[in-house]
Amino acid sequence: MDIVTVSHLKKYFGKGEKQVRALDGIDLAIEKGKFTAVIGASGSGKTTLLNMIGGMDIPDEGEVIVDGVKLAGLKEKQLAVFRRRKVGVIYQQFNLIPILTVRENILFPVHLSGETEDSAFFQEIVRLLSLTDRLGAYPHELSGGGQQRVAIARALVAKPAILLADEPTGNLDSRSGWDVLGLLKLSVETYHQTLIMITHNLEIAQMADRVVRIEDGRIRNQE
Amino acid sequence: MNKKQAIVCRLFFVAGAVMFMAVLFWLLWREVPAAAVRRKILAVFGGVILLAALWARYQRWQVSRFADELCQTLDALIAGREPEQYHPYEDSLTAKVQGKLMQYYDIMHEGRRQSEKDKQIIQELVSDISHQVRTPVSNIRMFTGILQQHHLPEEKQAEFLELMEGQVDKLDFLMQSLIRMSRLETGTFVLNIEKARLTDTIARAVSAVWTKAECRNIEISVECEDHVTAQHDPKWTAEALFNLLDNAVKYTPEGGSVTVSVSPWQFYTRIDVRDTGMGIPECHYHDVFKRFFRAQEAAGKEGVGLGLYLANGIIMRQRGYICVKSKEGEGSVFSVYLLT
Repeated sequence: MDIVTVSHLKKYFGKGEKQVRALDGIDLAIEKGKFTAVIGASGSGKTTLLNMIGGMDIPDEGEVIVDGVKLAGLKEKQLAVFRRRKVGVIYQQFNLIPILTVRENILFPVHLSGETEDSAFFQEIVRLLSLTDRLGAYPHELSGGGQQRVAIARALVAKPAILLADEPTGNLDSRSGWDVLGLLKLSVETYHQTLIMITHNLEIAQMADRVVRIEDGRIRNQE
Repeated sequence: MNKKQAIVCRLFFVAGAVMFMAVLFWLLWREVPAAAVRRKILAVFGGVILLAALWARYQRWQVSRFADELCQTLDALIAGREPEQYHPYEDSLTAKVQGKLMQYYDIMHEGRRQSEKDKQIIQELVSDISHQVRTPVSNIRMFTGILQQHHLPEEKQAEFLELMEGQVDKLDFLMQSLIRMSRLETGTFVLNIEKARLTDTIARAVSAVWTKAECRNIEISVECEDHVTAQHDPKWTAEALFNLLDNAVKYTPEGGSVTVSVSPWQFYTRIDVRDTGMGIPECHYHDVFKRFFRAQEAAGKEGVGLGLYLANGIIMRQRGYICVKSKEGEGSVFSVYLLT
């Protein structure tokens, strides 16, 4: 069963001669509960694709269907709800809020949408990501790997069906990178989530169930 | 709240309202002598009460509509069809609860989907197995045919018998692997995951390939500090490591070396099995862990393509993972990550 279907997706930036074809006709179906790695050089359009799937950017042509719903048909407000309930995003540069503690950072999206926290689930995630004794700390007191684990917990806490990760280990040394990746894989397997991860590292990509290669805004070959 | 309580509650409410009205009328008659003013106050008051009643009515209607919509969703899900009034990303209460219900339904359904997938896997497995068994069986049949029909000199007979033995060994090996695989696939083997010393586990795996390595003049060295532990099932992990080591020895030319090294990290402990063999091209990194995958380059070597698949399965079941990194012609490193 496919949770994400992308068809004839095109996105151009700029006009005339300077036009950049970030996505030049992408067709892709992503199976539910699988770990898909999207690899390609920088500038190949990986991040643009991820932004389209997450409803954070609008394509020029083509459509994105997530869990049976066409994103193009949603109003701005509905799109916001979609992003809140359906997707969790993990970035290379963590994007934690420096003045909030680890606990507050993780629960931030839940409180923002005015929902009550599922405290048992929160405890479970925190334990899984070994953050239990760092809940009172501030992001700057944690190592890079620690900060990324907080970001993963934050992405997981709303129980999104899809997790989008954009070079999650890009800012980490290889050792904590593998640590974080292992835990990320473990969490998506535990909660039956679909993980789409961007990377330019083939070694990392082999952890995925499937590898999609993008070159110049097009899909090259798929494994 | 049961029925009796509801009636008592309602009685109290009515009594309260009546008393409130009585007090109001009494106050009005006492404090406001002008009849016209009294009427106006009463009219305003009546209006407020009417509005409040309408509001309560509206709220009640909303609650019952909410319940109706939920019931419709549940009915649809029970009947196994899509709910009609489902707007997943509406910022409303109904959509919120519906969304959660759908999520719950999805998770519950996962089991059914999984069992269908399992059926498919078993089907593929059966066809793979029959394919694997066919070659040795037809070889054996051919050799027995030759032995029965021709009177061969004794040394020729011995040669054929040896060839047959090789094929029987292959069948035996295949069967052993299949039994392990089916146990892995159906999840019937029990893992006893404990915090155990890795040196013991590695020693167990290494001792199983020692003779084979010695025969081929390949040196196996282990770099692991005594106190390092990881959460694993020693028996099965040794089996997985044995598969990696067996491969390493198999694909390393004579006189080469195989190194096992352990580095404990914050969350995972990494065990590297490094060989100086032929290497694996980058495009096969993913494939080598697939069932019955055999690279073109490996065609000359014995094996059925189950070792890495089994190793991966065993490690995955222990919440760890395996990765490979390789340089063609220089060797490969298989890294096993176990939770510390």
